[in-house]
Amino acid sequence: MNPLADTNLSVKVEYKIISFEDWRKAVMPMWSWIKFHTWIPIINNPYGMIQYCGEEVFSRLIQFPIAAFVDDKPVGWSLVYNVSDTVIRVRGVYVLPEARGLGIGTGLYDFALSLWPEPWTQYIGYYDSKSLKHFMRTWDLKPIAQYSLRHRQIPATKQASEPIQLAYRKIKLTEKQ
Amino acid sequence: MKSKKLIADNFIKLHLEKYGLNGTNTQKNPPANFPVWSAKTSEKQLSQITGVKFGYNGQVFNWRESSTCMFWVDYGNESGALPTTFLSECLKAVDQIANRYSTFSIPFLGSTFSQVLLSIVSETQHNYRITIPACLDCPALNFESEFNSKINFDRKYTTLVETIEFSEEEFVAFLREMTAEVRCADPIVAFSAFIGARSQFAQVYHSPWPEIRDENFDIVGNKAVGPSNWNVVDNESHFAIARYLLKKNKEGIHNLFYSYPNIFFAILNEAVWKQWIKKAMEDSDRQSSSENFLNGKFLAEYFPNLYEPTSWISGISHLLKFKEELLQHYPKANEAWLTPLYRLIEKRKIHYDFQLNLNESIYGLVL
Repeated sequence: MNPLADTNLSVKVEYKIISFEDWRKAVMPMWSWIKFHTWIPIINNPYGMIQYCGEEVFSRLIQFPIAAFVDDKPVGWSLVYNVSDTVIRVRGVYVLPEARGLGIGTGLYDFALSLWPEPWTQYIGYYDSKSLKHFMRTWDLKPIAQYSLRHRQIPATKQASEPIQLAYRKIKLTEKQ
Repeated sequence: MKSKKLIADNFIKLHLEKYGLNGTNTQKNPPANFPVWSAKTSEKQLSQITGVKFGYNGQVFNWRESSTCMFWVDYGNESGALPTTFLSECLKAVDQIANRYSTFSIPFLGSTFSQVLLSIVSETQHNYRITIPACLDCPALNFESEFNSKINFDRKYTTLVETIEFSEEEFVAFLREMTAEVRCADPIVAFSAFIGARSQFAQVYHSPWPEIRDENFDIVGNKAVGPSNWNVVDNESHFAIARYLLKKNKEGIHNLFYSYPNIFFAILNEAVWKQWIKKAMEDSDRQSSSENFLNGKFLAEYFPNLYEPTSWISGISHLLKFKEELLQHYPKANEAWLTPLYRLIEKRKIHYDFQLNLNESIYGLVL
């Protein structure tokens, strides 16, 4: 059941940049293996995506934690950062169960991309097969042919989770502010 | 029309203060229950550990203050002479160590590092000692018989040996104290620190060989999952001895490769290394890490008499039983930092005649 979708009314969603602290408190349910939200690191570098070297990481990497609001209530979160001077990555999208099915996930992606000027022309991210299928349909995401499914270890348990696939999307100029 | 780089630079400049990793929007955790050592580090102390910069949150040689402090490493830009050969850079480093310390010691643990260092210093006229750990109640941490059986030095070397006798209980007490003081979550590093702490000489601490890893090799599935993506991997624990020396105001070389990074750059410039990595990128012979090669065939090129470090491997297995306890108490003291290899060699002006960055079209470029 989706209470918001069931109203059949057009829901006005606002997207904003929020503080990193609010972001990591909100997305903690996605980090099932941690005890406190403060354990969520400032940044992560999955599979060596970040192309910056040493102190460049602190002088060139920008991160925008973002949220979707319905009636001033936050219902979805994401965070976008640059892995290089031309490519960005979104660090997960989380939408509250009661707000799913309204396009808020894709709305968060669109907003995340709109924050970056022209040198950043590509988005990349890892997806499990269910999410990949969803965003291929709703957001024009494409799996990258040279990259195959890979296993991911859950940090605390070292158990393998569902395999993930690297996908990309070119950023169109019209998506930029 | 503005260049892409200029636009990127301006955008970053505009947002860095607020949205950079140290920006005002990225509120960090306040220090809590972390032992923070705030004494000012002297120039003399820093001269012991310079070479590779390390620290937290973009600051140099500072302390971890909270769980979200971001450990980082910087290999710097090219300056001065390019690295020569692996062997000559090792010899240069040993000469510099001998200039700094009238007598220095090297640990004997049976590892390839111990064997190599011993081979190098024994070719010099420097004043050195060989420190041998001899645990009285744990054979896995006693390397005396290994030294006596494997090292065929003539009699003059017997006067150079410094044997450190200890009980396992003493080591465990040191391990816990060191971990609490400088947040070392690696018992192997703590063991090296223990041996150095017990030595009466400035020690060249046992140093793990540099690790270069292909991040597009799936270890769990044991297969390549994308074009090679080689990164230098530096672990926070590997700098624990540097923090320990700084805190205790103790002399010594915390890590040969970090204190004298030209040794590492020379490895990256050696033809045998370049041949290996070129092959390791081919579909038919993909490799996940440099570990086996650097510890094996690479060293065998220069030191044909190296033997299998079986005692050290037993020692490591024994030490690893303490790891769980350390990680339980200090879950956030074992961060890894990645440096893209192609960027490092670019910055150090090391030339490869093949394309090392195969992911440019996916991960993008630093303009």
